[in-house]
Amino acid sequence: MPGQPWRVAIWLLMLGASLVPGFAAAQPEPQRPEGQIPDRGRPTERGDDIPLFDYDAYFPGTWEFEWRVPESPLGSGGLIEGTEVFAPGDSGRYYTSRIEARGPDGEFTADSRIIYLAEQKAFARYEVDSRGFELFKAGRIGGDLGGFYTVHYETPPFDVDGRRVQLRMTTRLVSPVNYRVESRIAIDGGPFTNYGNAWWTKHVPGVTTPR
Amino acid sequence: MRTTLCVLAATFMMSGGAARAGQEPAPPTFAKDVAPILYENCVTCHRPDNIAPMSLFEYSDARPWARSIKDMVVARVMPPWPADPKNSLKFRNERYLAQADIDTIAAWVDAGAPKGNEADMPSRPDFPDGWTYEGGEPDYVFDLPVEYAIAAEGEEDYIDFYSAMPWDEDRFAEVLELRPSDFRVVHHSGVYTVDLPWGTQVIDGVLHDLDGNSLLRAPLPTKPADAETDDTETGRVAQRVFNEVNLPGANKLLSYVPGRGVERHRPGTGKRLAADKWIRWTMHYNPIGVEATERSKLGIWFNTKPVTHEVLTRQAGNAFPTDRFGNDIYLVQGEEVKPTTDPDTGRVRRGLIPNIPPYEDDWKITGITPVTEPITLYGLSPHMHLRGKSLRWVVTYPDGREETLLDVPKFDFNWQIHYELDEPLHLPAGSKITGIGVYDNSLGNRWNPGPHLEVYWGQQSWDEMYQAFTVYTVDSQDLTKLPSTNDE
Repeated sequence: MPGQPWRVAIWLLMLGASLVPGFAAAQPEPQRPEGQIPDRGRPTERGDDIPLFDYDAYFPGTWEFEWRVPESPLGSGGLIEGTEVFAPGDSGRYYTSRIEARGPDGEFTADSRIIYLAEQKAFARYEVDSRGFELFKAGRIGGDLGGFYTVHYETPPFDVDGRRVQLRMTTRLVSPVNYRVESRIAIDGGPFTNYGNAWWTKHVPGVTTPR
Repeated sequence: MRTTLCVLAATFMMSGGAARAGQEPAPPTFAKDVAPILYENCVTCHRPDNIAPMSLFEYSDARPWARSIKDMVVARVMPPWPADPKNSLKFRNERYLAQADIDTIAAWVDAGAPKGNEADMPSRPDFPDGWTYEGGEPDYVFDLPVEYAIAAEGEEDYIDFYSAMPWDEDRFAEVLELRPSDFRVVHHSGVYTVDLPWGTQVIDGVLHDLDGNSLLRAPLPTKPADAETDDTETGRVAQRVFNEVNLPGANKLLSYVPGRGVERHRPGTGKRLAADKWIRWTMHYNPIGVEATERSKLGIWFNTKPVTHEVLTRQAGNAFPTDRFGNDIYLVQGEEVKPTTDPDTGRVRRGLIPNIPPYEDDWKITGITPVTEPITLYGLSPHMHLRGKSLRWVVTYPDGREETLLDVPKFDFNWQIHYELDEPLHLPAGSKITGIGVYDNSLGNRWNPGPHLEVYWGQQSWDEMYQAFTVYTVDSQDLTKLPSTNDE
């Protein structure tokens, strides 16, 4: 019958078109990021447990960051912007991260190995920075009942271009997709002074957070 | 002769003009041009041991931050002023940099941030003993009765401390400042004038029962039904309501939250510090990961002229203070929250505000206060917690005309400013004050630790508050014609 193949083709196209949305609808929606405090169905009470921080639920992925720093032995003052990708390490015993950034003195990278001991509420992080220095940070993590976890990092003194530098960093994990780093620096044994506050924002499809 | 002089003068002017045209203007320097701007607009916070993370007093303080200072002022992120000036009245404590000042700072940074001549440095502003109010040392200072130790982590309850009034007759405060000793750990705090709750006493600043047991974290004693009635006792929210001397809202002195902590009342108005009351310090501390101690101070500057009107601090939505039969009025997502009736006693109870649902990004609560007699409005203070998104006050006049008093389109938990009207605003009877608060419990709120959670109404920062504080006096009140509380 003349025209029948054409009709069949149309029918198949229509069938396909009707199936495709159905197929798409059957796909599970990407899960929206959640905080780490369980829904207790009631307001918090003094004495409620604070869950141990779940690293795997929080960090892995790609984060953007921006950080305004003052002039220091670590470089010129101004804005540093970049990305940090957190991933599991090869052996499964540690995690890694890679920073690719641009600051007032140009581009740089930093590669890190991170160890998190949940039961001990302890972090350790070793960074190799392409600007010519290496950092070892150790810290403890604590939390509150609202879901804010805070990591307090400190480095031992290290040398950069003949200057003695030490850093303290408070990393506040204020949302499932944002964290803020408040940093302080001591130079040549002097007092700790402000080294800038930075924001990290996670890439999550469909989620836009203000910057 | 005259011609010769004219030629000489013209030649001189032209040569000067040529010289000026051939020179670049000298770049701004810190000492001569930038320090005066910083001293005028920034060092209230940017000074040692204050809330800002670094001082900007000295060249050596500011120089490392030069590029960031430029970026922040050009973007008008600093100085912080969360109100929308185009949709708000004018406030006497506005913090703006003039465009000329921004241009000066930008030019200074672009020129390499030179220091300039030390002799050009302006004199440093004087902040007496760390106080922010510029009126000299306080007339009286209350210290928090204890040095409180804050654990490194966990949850801190609200806790109350009590200080006795040190005078025999009522005094009035024209200016008050509540100042933490460690800004890092004070989430917020408030001071109130109160009676002691029934069955309690104060020992070393802490409430105890009459057997000497501490009530710092214990429930208050329950007043037996057959106990003698004392109208002056109303528990933790004690205040003598409706006796025309101490109207509702009079007992709140002020709050400290980041960005706020000083209230300057107009001469002839003030906050009463009744001789027979106690100062109650309601403190909410934040664990910061390391142990810390804190001891706030309350600075008082007494009234400079006789006080005729007592300043009331009420939130939009509260019943009007002299309306004995008024109810609080709140709408949630457009629907009025209805009072309920206790089935046992038949007493009418305030309706409960529903919780904020998970992932909701535009959840609205509206509080309405009908103004039943003329008032004079002085200031507005927004207070919300981490899900706070915006807060706006609107007054509706009796003829139906609406005027936005204050619009805070991007509420920032870290900058909760007390907005002092440039000129007091008289509102006639029949007006209506409306506060519209919006909350964001979504992932789009960068400070939201738990978008998957329902948000309860409570004291912790992860719970929520709606406090559209509105500061005013009732025009009909004339304290010079009323007995003082000392006469009761």
